Amino acid sequence: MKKFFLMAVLFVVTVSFALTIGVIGKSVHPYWSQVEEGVKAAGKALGVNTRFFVPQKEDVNAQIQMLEAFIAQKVDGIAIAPSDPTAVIPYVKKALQQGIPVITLDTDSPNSGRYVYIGTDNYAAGYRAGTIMKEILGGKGKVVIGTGSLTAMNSLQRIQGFKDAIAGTNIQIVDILNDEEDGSRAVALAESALNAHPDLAAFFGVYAYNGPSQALVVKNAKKVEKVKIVCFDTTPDILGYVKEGVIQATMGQRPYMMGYLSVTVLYLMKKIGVQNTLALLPKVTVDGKEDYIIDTGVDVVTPQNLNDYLKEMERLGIPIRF
Amino acid sequence: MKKWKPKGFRELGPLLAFVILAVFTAILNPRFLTLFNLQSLGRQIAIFGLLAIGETFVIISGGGAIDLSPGSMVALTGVMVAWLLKQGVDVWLSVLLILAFSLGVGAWHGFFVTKLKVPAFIITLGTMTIARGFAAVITKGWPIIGLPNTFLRIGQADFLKIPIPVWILLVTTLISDFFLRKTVYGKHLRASGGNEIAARFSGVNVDRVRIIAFMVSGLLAGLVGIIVAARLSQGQPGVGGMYELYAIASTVIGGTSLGGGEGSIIGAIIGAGIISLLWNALVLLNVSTYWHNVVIGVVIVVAVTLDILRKRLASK
Repeated sequence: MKKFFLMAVLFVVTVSFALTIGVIGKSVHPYWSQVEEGVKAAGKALGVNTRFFVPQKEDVNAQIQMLEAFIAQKVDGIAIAPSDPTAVIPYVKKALQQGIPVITLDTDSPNSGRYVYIGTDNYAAGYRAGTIMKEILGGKGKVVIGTGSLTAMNSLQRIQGFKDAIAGTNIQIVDILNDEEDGSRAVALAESALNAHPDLAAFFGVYAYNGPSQALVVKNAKKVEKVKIVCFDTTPDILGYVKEGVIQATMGQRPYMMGYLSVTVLYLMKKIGVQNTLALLPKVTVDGKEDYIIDTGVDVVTPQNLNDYLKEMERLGIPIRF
Repeated sequence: MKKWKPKGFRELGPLLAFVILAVFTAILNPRFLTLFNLQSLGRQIAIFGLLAIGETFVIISGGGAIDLSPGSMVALTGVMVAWLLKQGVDVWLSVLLILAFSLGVGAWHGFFVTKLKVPAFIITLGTMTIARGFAAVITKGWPIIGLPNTFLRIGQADFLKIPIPVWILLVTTLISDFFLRKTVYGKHLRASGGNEIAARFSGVNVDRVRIIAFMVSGLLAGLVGIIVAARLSQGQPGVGGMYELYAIASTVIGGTSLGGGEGSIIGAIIGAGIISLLWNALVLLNVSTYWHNVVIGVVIVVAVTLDILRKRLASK
């Protein structure tokens, strides 16, 4: 009993002396579970405590509350993926004033004063998707885009990148469909679009569930040979369709890396100082201002390289079964 | 001038709106009439229609009763049935368990509303949040995939070219319309909603009537959850957002009074038809997706307003 008590005290003491880093994601979603895996892995490797929080659904107010709670607890660093880039600005500033380093991951808030942004360059990823679409279609055909939002920056940037990549070819975007993040509506819209455009050559799916919704519709309509699909993310259902050849390519983001790097960067900022850490990071110039952005990039997963991708994920401790 | 009085067919207004919309769409884009599209439309109508039937029962029962839980219950029951199937539970047993569960949730609502006098708005709002939350707890956001083919048939297969969900809707409509119009229960339901005190004095067990109404709504939400999971080939925690509002709108478009006491199952189905048709037609007519919600909202307001005006004129 005494021994147990001693160990408990020892445990509390070590825990309270270790650094604590808070990470705030966007919603309950597989994508954020992978971020969490990365956060935990980095925490374990560096010996820091990590607190990971996501609201049920995207909810900037819940994020702000957690941000304030982290500030009140005087954590040693905060990484946040703001659901609304402007709403969080005053709270990020408050944390910085208290000497708590703040960085953004997945989604940026450039005017908040955060030190670094770590995430997918969505424009570049959309451009990559467009380039692959161009190759798959041989430079011509009608494409319908399915997305869950026409206001969120990531959706808009992916679509813009896609458009710029296919500019100058005979690929024509005949419709952009917004299902407002409802998977069932995404299926209904894809069915309507497939019917409205009998000569449709391809779908481009912007959000994680868009690709599988389109794949389901194309497969049921027995048009797998005619209608190609390029989409985003690597949930098990997407990879299942890639394996079957219904989806030709998907842009796998690297959420694990985002989580891992966020904790690592914040850890360094505490250990060697903010400026010393920034000196190590890639510097870019945006609108004449120096900024620090880490593009985590995308993995293009196709039926050909699927197995290699799965092996790599397994190695990171994210086994994907389907 | 002789006044025209609609007799026995108050669903005429919404039905006309539905037909005009369909004809208009078919003329502008003949591909509206392809089998593939009509099947797709049918499945959508089934989803909204079944929810609207449940909502009709609840709203008719009066006392300000409304059910805000169906959208979230669709997500939760879809995830639950997918989870059961993944545990290797037999398809029909899983379906029965889910239906029993949703019936129980409906009874829970009814119990709170009638025995504890908690406003229906509040107790079902609670379920709306709790059910959405549990769906996320079970899945951590991951879709549950790899469901057996027998199950997927519920949402994806056809019989005589008509999708299974449409058959389910047809059978449910016939049964519930019969119940509402021809049985003692239907009479009591309308009486409870029309004048609760008079109903109580004439010996109607108002509480029991309302509890059953909530159970019907719960049961149908579970049924739709099963259909949607089968249609998407997965249990997805994010589906069903705002479905309760579409169901309520369908019900009201179909001529059910939000005050309770009167309503029509057939009308609710037509209402669901109008909303589903809009989703479909806006794509076929190549209307920019930015405008979709604006158009749907305007149509709901116009349809309901016209119907109220028509009724007022008819009753003068």
